Amino acid sequence: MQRDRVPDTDHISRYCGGAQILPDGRISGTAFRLRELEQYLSVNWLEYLGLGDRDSEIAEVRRVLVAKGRNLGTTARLAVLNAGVLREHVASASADHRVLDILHEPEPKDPSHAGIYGLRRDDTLMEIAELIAQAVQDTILRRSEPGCPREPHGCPSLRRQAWRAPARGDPFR
Amino acid sequence: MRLDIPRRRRSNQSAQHDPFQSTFLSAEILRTYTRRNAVFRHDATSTASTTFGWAPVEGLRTDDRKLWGQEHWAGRPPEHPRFHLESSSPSRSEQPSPRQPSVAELILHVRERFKAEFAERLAKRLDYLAKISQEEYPEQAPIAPEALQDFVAFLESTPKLVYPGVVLTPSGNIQAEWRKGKNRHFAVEFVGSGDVHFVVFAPDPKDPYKTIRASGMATVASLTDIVRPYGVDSWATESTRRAA
Repeated sequence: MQRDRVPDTDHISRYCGGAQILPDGRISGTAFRLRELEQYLSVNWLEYLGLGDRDSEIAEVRRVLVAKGRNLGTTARLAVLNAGVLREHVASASADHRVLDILHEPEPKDPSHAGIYGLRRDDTLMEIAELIAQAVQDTILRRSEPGCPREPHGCPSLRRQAWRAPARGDPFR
Repeated sequence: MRLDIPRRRRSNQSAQHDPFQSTFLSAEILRTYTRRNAVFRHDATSTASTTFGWAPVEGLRTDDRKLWGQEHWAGRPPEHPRFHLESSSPSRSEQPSPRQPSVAELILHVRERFKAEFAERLAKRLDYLAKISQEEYPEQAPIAPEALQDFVAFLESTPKLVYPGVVLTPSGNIQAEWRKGKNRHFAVEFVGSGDVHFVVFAPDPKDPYKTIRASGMATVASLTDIVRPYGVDSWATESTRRAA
């Protein structure tokens, strides 16, 4: 079956556990590592939801993750990335000019589910994961309600606001 | 601590000595010894050497800093024989291995014995990560004690390092990061067994507007030597940071 490619203009979100969040609120590259038996990194295609605004999209993703039985940590965050920026950044910055594919992988309970293909479980995985982490635009607290400000993150050219929220949940930073 | 293990019979009892019984007894002693190994490692003042001809590591105490050093855990030096029992030498699985400290013990070690200024801060961060991994289980594996032990050993062997960002990989390994901008980034994943995966993003010395990106595997012992040519010291160590 031909799977749709997420367009460069669209955005994806990735669930990041609290143990992968750095004390300053940045997402670590460890959030973008392939786990055992994984063929791709699971993400959600936000524009596919057709909800019109980012807050509603994030709320829907959270609802879907819970419906799928995911144990969402209190300090976990959702990282938002632009598909085109991610592909371009990894291709230009990686030593082997890695080309990542972001393909739609709908699931019965999760129609916006997509996958980042092109990561390999070898010596390059850590480098590629760090580069993906650099391309993160926003990080959104798992427990935040619609309207909660996001943290500008990653590529400075894509920052939408200068405000930076404290890393809530980690009093020891 | 003294092991409650019966001594071998002396020569006046040897006439009644059953070799099969002796072998069985030796195996029993060996199993008991193996089970008690954990305690034994911590309290090596035991007099078991007189019973078994075993030579404990000299000067080993529970609070000995060497106890936490990587070279110590790599195994007892070959000049210290493990056993001199009459039975055939124990199989590899039966041989006592160095006891792996638990995560709680390692965090306690960081808190109480670590010399760095950020010891308390690091201990609290590790406590926090342990709590988070508990909360997010099974998506997040608990902290791997082998990885944490290597991380602590690395920090102790490199005292000039500044406080790192510490996170967990999904499999529970420790990853430490020193970062000062997108092109000054040094991340190390401690995978246990003295091995690390690392990645360095650093400015090219010939063209500072370009970035060198290097990654690979190394041992904890050789890591600093491998990454030094990339100028990691300039943002990951205290003295050079102050000088800058």
